[in-house]
Amino acid sequence: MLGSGQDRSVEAESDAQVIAASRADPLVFATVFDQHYDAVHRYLARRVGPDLADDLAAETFTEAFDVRLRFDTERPDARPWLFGIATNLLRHHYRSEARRLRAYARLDRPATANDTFGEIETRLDAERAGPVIAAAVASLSADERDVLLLLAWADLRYEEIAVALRIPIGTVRSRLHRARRRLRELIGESGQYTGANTLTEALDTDG
Amino acid sequence: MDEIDALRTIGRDVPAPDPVAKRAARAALVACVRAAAPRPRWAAMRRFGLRRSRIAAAVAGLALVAVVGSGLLPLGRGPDPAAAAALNRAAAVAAVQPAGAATGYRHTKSEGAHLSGVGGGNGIWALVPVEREIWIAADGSGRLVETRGEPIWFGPADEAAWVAAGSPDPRGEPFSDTRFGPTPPGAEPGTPQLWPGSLHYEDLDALPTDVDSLRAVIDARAAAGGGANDYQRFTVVADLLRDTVGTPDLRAALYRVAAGLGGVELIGSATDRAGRTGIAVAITGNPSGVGLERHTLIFDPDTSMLLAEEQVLLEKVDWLDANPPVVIGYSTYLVSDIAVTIP
Repeated sequence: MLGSGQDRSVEAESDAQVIAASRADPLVFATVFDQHYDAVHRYLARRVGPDLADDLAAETFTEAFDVRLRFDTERPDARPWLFGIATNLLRHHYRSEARRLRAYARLDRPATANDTFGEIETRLDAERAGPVIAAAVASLSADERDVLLLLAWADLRYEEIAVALRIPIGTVRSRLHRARRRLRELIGESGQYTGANTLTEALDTDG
Repeated sequence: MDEIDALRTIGRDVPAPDPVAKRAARAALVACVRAAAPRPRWAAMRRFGLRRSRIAAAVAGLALVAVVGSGLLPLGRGPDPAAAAALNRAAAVAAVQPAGAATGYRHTKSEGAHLSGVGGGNGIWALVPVEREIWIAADGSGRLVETRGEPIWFGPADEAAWVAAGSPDPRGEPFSDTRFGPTPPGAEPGTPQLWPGSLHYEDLDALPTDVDSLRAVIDARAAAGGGANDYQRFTVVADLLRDTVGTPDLRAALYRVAAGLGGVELIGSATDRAGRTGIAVAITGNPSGVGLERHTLIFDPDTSMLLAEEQVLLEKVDWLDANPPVVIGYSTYLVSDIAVTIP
């Protein structure tokens, strides 16, 4: 659901304390790694696959350490900040992301193949709509995709996405609105992708 | 179920992080933290050629340290009486020294090299040498001059991978000379802080010189920095000894804390990379879960000043293309005094 990120106020409090303490004792920053590496890696792996996620997750934390003085310790939770750094690193790897989305969409088949989507009728069945959604996501702009996937795959709330991407919350809302509208247009009432003749063509637009 | 719910189902079965990759990532972060710590840790470029040949031999630490004392002690032992005696003697030397000037700039100059990821997160490792000179006032203002050398490769595979990755410069600015303003208002007095635009300054006078109280501080820092174990406590002691312009009473207390740590062994007489002879003590452990390391300190028994330190990886690991024992970091502390002005 939109804005349904979990309440992490307890651990978030310790994030702020840890990062503040790391200004005096830099090694303390390893605690941030211990607390959030798995979540950051999971988000990256969903976007670009596990292998590249290994590198980017490592880079996320070294980058975070380098810029930790910019972390606003008034914000108790480091996750938005970390996901923002990770998302920024992804900007150099959109081809890899396109390949990943192609994998999700099982692009060895054309979108019109009834044996893939034939059972989707009047409502979206999440499991079966997954490939369709993946194709549609690939057709979004990079900005829209970042907002959408921070919401859906990083479980960030609107205000956390704004912090992650350093954009006003109104911009988050407008990008999400456009992204969701675009998804609905592409998926169509039947849940079948309608934006291109084949999923391959749709996904190649971003690759 | 809407499109967001459907989107959440995609890729949810992504595998958990590979433990080896995770350990390597943590090691990269720790190396980055250690490399960035505003403390002297680095080697002089002017002796770089000599170091390269030594490191290529993969036994640089062993070649440079003339071992006269005991061999390695098993892990988990209590304090080694010989090491404790040497450390307590250093403490006694420090304890009768006069306190230095209370004002001015804490001035240190050091040379060293440390393990650094040089491939933009691609698991490519090298030693990057740095010469560093710092002047720090109590208000955080000061000057930092750094000169970084070319990477020292552990083997041809890392160098080839680095070239294939486009030879990203691991040094940032090869030379930097930066003057910093005072710590902004609002910083709590007497606490170590690192603020944008100012240098790291820790008020060493604020640390307790009573051994039990100092041990409690070190315990807390060790727990926060990687674990409440004697290896980590030893590292914290080394962190504070690097600022040898701290008071002699503090230095004495630090040596006494070190004397009580389990697993610290006496290596014996040793010569650092600057050619100075001192006493070496070491501890062995696996601080980050990434491989067994030995951390060695060399101090001058006549002055109690820390001369040098070194970290050596003792076992073959899957994240580094090098055969053990291999030096993964070392520092030589050349100057430590109080300066009236900044040049």
